[in-house]
Amino acid sequence: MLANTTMKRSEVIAEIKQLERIAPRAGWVEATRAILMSEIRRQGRPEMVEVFSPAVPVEGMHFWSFIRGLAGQPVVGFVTALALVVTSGLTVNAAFYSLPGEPLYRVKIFFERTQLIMVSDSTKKVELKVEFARNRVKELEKLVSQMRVGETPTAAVSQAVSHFTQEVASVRLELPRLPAGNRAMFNIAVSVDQASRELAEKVQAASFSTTTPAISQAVRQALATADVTSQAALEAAVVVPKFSTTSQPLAANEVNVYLREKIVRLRALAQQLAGVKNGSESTRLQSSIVSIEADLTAAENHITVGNLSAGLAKISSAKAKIDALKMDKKNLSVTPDAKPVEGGALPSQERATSTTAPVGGPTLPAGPAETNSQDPQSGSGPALETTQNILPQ
Amino acid sequence: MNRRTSKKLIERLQLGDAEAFSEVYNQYIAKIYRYVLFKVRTREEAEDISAEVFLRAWQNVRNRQRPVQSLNAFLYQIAKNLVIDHYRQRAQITDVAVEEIADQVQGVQQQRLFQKIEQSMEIGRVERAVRGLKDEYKDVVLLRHVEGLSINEIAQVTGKTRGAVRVTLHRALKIIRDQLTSGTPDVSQHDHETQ
Repeated sequence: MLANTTMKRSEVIAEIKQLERIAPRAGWVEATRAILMSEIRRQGRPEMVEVFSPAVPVEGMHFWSFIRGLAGQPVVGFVTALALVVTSGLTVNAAFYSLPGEPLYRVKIFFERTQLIMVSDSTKKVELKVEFARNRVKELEKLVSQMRVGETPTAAVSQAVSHFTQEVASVRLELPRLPAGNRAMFNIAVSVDQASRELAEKVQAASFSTTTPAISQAVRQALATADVTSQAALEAAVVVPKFSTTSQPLAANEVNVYLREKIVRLRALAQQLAGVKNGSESTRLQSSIVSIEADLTAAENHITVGNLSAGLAKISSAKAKIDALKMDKKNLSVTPDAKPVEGGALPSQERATSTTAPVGGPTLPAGPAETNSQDPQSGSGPALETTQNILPQ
Repeated sequence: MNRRTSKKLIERLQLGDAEAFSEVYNQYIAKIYRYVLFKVRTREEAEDISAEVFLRAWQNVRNRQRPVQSLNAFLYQIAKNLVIDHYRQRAQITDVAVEEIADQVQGVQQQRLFQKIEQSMEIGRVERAVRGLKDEYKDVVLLRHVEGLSINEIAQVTGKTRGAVRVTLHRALKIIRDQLTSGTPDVSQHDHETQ
């Protein structure tokens, strides 16, 4: 321990230089070198198997079972398995099937990042990220299928959800770099929206235990982030005049149809939310519904005359009001026979009976969760939504 | 690594020499990891970002129109940018400003992370002092006195002028000295002084 005297500059620097002793794990250094060299050499030989080719699923599964049998502690298992698969050249197939929490999962993520870095085209990069987001949804589905009924979801589930969030957030970061108003941007918007709805479906279908505030928080973030990303992509897709009906009728029609479908779903959701029993609140709610309907009607009118940007703005406005309405409804009861019409909610205590995909794009869930502390670490924790199932029937 | 060796290594990298990449990796992996570790929350994040630094370096060095002048500056710049991207991505998720996230990171999670390092090594006080610095001060101190970069190279990495780097370094060292000699580090007070 240093005496309480003024130190010379040279003494301070000598102390700081001690930080050179901080070093990475030797096992990680070796494993990473192996992966990097393998990838670099692979690039020099295009005839090698492309990354994530599912062309040899059987071989991959057999090999993965072998590796899983060898893995012990997560860190040791990771390094051991990695050394084996890299030397055997079967890294790609083995990692492809891994799930969060498994030793090779980080290899899988690393290879996804490698793909991104090696792709120079911005649009392709974004499309890859959307594909990776969908990979996370598939992983979530597999994890859920391995859970027993009523079992509390593991950290791996939370990891899959938060990785999904990171992927769609990074899509949004890339959007400004893409050429605005092109078909690819529109496809990205639709894909992100679809991925988000799939995530909501999987979570809803899983009927997780209600005592999982961490999962609730993660899912809320995921859906909100995806919503913002999809919206941003759509706004960029419709901003350019060449989307007018006179110059590119096919593209404009596609956007028209998509936006009109969105309006239909939002209208149905608003009408569902209007079904309240509590008379003292009904006036305020009805007034909100009227305002939402005005926005949606204005959106339809804008779209009809080809003003897609304005139409999208009105849709956003309606959606924000619907989200606010759902927040307000947390203290209100719902008619027992209310049918779910919108996707993207937190899992409720009731198992979803819907067999169709969520519509209208996921919205932020409201309900009892929001009356409690927003802090997922709080003791009581936010309860999952119980006021309504929100998958369509 | 002297300048001539570094220059030859850069030339080989630009020609796509995989063995040159391996040499660069061996020379720099611990340095890059250490630099990134002071800027993120967990060891896993530091590992992932560090690995990506080398992948990007391999990609970028061969696609640049102007040749790389300094391998040091080149690699640390990539590392710095990847850390910023990492926080920017997190900001997209939580709607918190990037700077706020960086400040939060200097809080609880890093304390936990570095407690583990402290337990195995007797560098706790100086490590705490450096960790508690503002990001721009931390950069300059680490790059100069731990990783051994020149003032010129640090200026390239940080985007500051050489004069600004010197001033920042002087201030950072003063803060660290005060903390090491006072025995009761008061990071918040120092943060106010430096603003």
